[in-house]
Amino acid sequence: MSNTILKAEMLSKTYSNGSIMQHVLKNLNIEIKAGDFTVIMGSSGSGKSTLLYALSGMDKPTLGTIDFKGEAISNYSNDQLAVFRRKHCGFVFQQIYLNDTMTVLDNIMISGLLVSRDKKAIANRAKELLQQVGLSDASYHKYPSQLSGGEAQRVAIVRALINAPEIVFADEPTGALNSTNAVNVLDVMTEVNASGQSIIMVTHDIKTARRANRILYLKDGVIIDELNLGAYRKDDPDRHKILREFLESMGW
Amino acid sequence: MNILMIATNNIKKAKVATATLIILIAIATIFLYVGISVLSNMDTFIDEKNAETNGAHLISITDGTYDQEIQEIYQSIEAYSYSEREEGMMSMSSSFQNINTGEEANSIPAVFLNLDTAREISQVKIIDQAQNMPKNGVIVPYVLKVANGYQTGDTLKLTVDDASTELEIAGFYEDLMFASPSNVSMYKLFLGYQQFQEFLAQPEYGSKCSYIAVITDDIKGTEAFESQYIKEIKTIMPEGTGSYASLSYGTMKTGVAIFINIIMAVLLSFSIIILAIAAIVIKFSTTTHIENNIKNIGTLEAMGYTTRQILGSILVEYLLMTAVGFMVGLGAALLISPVITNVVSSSIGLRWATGLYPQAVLASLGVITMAVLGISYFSAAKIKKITPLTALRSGIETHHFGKNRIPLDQTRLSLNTAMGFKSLIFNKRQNLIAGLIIMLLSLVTVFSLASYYNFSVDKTAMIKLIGLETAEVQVTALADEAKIFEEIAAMPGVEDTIRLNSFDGMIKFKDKESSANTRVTADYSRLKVNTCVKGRMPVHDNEIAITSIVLDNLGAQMGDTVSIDYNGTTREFLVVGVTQQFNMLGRGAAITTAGMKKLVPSYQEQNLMIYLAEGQDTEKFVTKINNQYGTDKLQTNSYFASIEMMLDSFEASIKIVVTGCLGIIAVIIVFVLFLVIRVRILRERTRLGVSKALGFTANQLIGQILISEMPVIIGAAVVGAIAGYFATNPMLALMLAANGILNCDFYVAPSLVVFTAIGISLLGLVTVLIVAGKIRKISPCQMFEEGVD
Ligand SMILES: Nc1ncnc2c1ncn2[C@@H]1O[C@H](COP(=O)(O)OP(=O)(O)OP(=O)(O)O)[C@@H](O)[C@H]1O
Ligand SMILES: [Mg+2]
Repeated sequence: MSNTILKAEMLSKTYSNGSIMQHVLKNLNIEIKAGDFTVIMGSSGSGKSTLLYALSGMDKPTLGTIDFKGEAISNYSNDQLAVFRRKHCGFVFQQIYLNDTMTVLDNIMISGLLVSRDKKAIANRAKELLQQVGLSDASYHKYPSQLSGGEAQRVAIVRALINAPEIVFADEPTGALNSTNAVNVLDVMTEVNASGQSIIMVTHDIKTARRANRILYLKDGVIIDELNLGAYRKDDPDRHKILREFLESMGW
Repeated sequence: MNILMIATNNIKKAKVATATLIILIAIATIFLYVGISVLSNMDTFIDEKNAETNGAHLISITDGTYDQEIQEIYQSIEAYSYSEREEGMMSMSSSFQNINTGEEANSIPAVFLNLDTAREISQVKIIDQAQNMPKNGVIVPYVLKVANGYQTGDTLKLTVDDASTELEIAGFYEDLMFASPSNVSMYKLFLGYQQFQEFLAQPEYGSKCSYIAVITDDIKGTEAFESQYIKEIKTIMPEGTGSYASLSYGTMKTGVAIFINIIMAVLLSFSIIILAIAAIVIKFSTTTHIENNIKNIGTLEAMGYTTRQILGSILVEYLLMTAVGFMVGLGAALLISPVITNVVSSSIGLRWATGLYPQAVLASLGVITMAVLGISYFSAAKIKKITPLTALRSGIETHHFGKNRIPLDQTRLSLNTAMGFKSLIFNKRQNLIAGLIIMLLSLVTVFSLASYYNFSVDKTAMIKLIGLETAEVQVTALADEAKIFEEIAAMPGVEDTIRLNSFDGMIKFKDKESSANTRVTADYSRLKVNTCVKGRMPVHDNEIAITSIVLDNLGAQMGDTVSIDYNGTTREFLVVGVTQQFNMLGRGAAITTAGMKKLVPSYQEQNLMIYLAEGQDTEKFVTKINNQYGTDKLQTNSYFASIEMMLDSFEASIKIVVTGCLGIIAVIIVFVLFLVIRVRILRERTRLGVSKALGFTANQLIGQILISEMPVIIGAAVVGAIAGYFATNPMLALMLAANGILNCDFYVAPSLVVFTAIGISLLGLVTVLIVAGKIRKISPCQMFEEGVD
């Protein structure tokens, strides 16, 4: 069952700031299987967000190839990439980035309408997902700047899930949430994952990371080690212990 | 981080806004400085020029039969100091043509004087003097050099009726009297002794005259001196007999400066319009700056900066830009000073020297600094109301969240259209300011194009402003006028004739009086040019229409009763209308023939305006009349041609000014449009980047940008152009108000309005596409990660 959905080889990303070159990702290889729940951890500035942007086709890598189901998206034109993102990816940004000229519902609709024309169906699904992450009807017609940070984050998560994408990229989706809401969101994610969608998530939180079946540790643009939790049941208390030991060995 | 650092940092971040403002300030500086320096120095300049040559305070030209009596009149006037008389030759129907420049012949009366006569008053200082004075050498007014491109050595062909001769230009002289293109169109030309004597011996070129120059004790009272002289001379010589002309220094000084004053008024108005645009740009960029940087402002406040300090940094920012813009503008003004010198010199006929005038520098610096600081203070003052908390919550208070007008789950619009409209609605305030700027630009464009058209292409409206009739030929009969006028009216090629006279009237109201060139004709509705702007022209013998300048002098208004003194008779007239004219410095009045007969019962108009049919040759017609009646009984001149000549010298200057303004407006339009559109798209950058990340293609986003930007651009361009259609004439009237103009009739072609609206919209479209096109190449990450401008 475990066929590869996303595969990156020799991935490099270099930013040049004037004359200073910064190699953020260095010859990185990564393979994501359909249905994987992958967590990427690492210290601040290690290149986690950069990696997510590259894998989701939002930023072109400096070197290397990225294959999505055997197609080299790293050769795609900008427009092809846009179509790829709208069809197959969902993205939760670290900085949330909701469109502040639109209401909560419209923010989700714009993503949905890119793929389907069925307004009713999208609106209904949006409302359903909003309920699941703990947002009431009262919030549907608010504007982003009238929301709290946590509420905005949850809207962004719903936006990422609206098209039931094959891969969901989430950059610290629970960072701004209190524990109840974080659990809500993670439950939704886990449910989504259970229905076969892959998740690639960046987090600093061990409780969040515990939900994944695979942990990648990034340091200075290189995946220095990985931990496979797939063998353990979700409620196995050893999961937490093993993860902690792994992270401690990484110098976390 | 101190205030100066914040300010320079802001400037560096907002490059386009900074460049636009600097350019606007620089252009406003050029116009303001040139306008102020010319206007404020003109008076002294003319006085000093006149003092250099001991210029005459009054000149009178007569046929010489009453020299003794005239001398007595002068001596009886208190301010008289001394005078000089010399012999001259008066040529009323002369026309001139410079063979070398290829110009057309110009009809203009001339008085020829002997260059070798020794004179104290109005000494001749020759500019560009020929090495040897040729026998047929002539010294001509300096204005012909600057405005018409005459050069020493050129051949000047003089034609009087059938006779013609060639003269060689041997130099130029400067003088206020009879040497400048102004209301009084007559040239004074100097010939060598031999040529002068030959002319006097050949009567076909003109007749002997007596040329008297007077110096008075009071250079400011020369107009009163002239009025007194005219009053007395009329008792000796009846109107139109032997007195050809009289001219006072005061009249000439105002007359000479009138065109340049108009041009400078136009420049000053332009600088004010540009300052207004700068004001809105400042408002626009401070608003944007505050909205974009509200979080930074909040952080600074949270760090302990006071709002006063932050406000200070914004003011310092604009002060720095003002300083740079002003220096650039001043430098440019000095750089283009040869052009200014040329414009001024060709308008006043005197060699203007442009220099650095400290007072003008200070005055324009003052105006610009006050304007910029005032506006930036008021548009940035709202910072004071921002608390760190509201600022950090990214200014919820700055937006009023209305109802969601286009809910995406219900709308029938396509996704991209809906999103475009959403951003359009959301940016209401920004749109308003941007729209206002584009509207102003559109309005100014229509105004400038219309001015150009009316000054240079179709001059009907200008001629109407001057207030002269459009008759091709004017004849003055000294006898038998009834018979001669009837015969002329019946001649082939004559379309219409109107008897129209004018005299220098003294109008009184209560204890005030004012001179006015008073026109007399039987039926004003027959005139081709209607100068009436309020009420109506006189119909009955007790009615009068007066220009607003004379009314102001008198303190009278429509409905009042004024009186006219003429040869000792006084009659009262009811003011039934207000007129306007540039001619005669705006001092004019109009009564009917019947009204004139109340002053002089035996009155007959001796002047006939002749309107020729299309395609008739004016010169040939004049020659024909002169041959038929002789020059003793009848004086004939090409009336309209001399008006046109006067307009031509004015046109050269106005063309330079209007063309310059049009060019500048084009630059401003491009910059300001670019700024406004760029700032708006940059503001949307994060939003667009996220949309791109969600899967919108570049074309979809460009489409959204077009929908959100173009309605405002097109709407503002159309509204501004239409406003320009209606505002052009009131604006002109406002500029010319000081010259007694209440109403302008400039033709604003509807096609001009359409052209402007379409042109500005297209320019906007191209700018949007250029700016928006950049998002094609940028990845979503770059768009939302880069800071906003
Ligand atoms: N657009 C950019 N231009 C230049 N450098 C960049 C750019 N984006 C990221 N970087 C640099 O790349 C490095 C990695 O950034 P990245 O955002 O991927 O880190 P991260 O692992 O997500 O950190 P954090 O946990 O703080 O979110 C950082 O040093 C950052 O400064
Ligand atoms: Mg990150």
